Amino acid sequence: MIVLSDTVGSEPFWQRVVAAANVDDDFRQRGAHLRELAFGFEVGGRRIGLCIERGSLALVEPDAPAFVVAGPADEWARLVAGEKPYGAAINVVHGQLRVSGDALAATWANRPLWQLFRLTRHLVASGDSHD
Amino acid sequence: MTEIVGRYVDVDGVRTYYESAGSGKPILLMHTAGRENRQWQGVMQRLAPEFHCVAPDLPGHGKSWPLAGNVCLSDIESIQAWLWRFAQTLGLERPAVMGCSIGGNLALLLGARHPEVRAVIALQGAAHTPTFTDGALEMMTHPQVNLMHANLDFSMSLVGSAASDEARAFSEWGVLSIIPVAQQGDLRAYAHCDSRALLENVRCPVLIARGTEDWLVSQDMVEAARDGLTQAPRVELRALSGLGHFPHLEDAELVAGMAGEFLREIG
Repeated sequence: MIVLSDTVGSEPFWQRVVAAANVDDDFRQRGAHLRELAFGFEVGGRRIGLCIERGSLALVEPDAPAFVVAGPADEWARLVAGEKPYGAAINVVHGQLRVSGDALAATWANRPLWQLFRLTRHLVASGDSHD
Repeated sequence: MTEIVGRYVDVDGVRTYYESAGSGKPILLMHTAGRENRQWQGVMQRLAPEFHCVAPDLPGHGKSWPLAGNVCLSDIESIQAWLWRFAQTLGLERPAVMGCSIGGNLALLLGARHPEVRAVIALQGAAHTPTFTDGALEMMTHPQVNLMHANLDFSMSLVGSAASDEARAFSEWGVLSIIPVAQQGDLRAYAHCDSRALLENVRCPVLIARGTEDWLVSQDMVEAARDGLTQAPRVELRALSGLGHFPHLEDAELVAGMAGEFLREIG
């Protein structure tokens, strides 16, 4: 399944991801330890703001993220489609995404983010990722 | 079933735990980063009828005591030197060396450093693996990081689709029971490993095998290692379809069969 690189940078796509995460027991459990952890995804030139509060995910203004995951849209497309694992996408050798900001916060968010990208893979595979 | 026996031996003042089984030409087996020798039990049981298999826990791993100050080795040359002293202490004569991931890198390095090595079998073995940043390594022992929690998805993503349920469960247990300072030391050694210039010193037969679903150790990395082995009399690179970063754990029967065949052929 191909996900277009402009889709992955769009707010409607991430609204669907947020909705999927909030009904997913695994995501809620893996993010339950987080308290108002705001972070950003920079997809190409577009910034998406997200926040996890006790396992619940929300879209927020991307103005004060603890950390940002940033990189080219085509690498994001591979990540959300499940063609590349989160660990590979942010790996210094194998990936084109980079995590900046508070490394501790980013580490705390590891498990919910891994689960989030499992959910995006399902969304893309189901064809529910497009407008 | 072949009996695997656990013993202790003193190596450089470190009370070192190792497991062994079988008799015959010796094979030194080296575990992956932060883990311990139980990874090799499936392979040991299958090779023991023909070979003397010996698998240590590195200092600070499994049931081996750490170094003075409760620290672990953290550079690749120190680890290979320690492993060689372990082999000498046990009187292993011309051992084959076999390892996975950092153990695979160590097998290649041992082959380069010690002409007595009979053969090298390097699973996911490479000579240059700068795959972790210093920042990521620092996080592993941060007082507010639970490494078992933070690393679980990463580690399990490295397991291949053909791995048995038992192997998958034990791999997960390997993360849940990890010792952060041991994992950090090993991965620091792994990330800074660059033995490319030494590969031409390897003069023994070498088998490199790679689980094809491992995203951390790429095909390019193992091919680069193979291509650097210009003086080895025999070099093979095999693809292990459906397996990931831990082939010896994921399919012990396949790996033991492959290793046994290779070692029989070289004599």
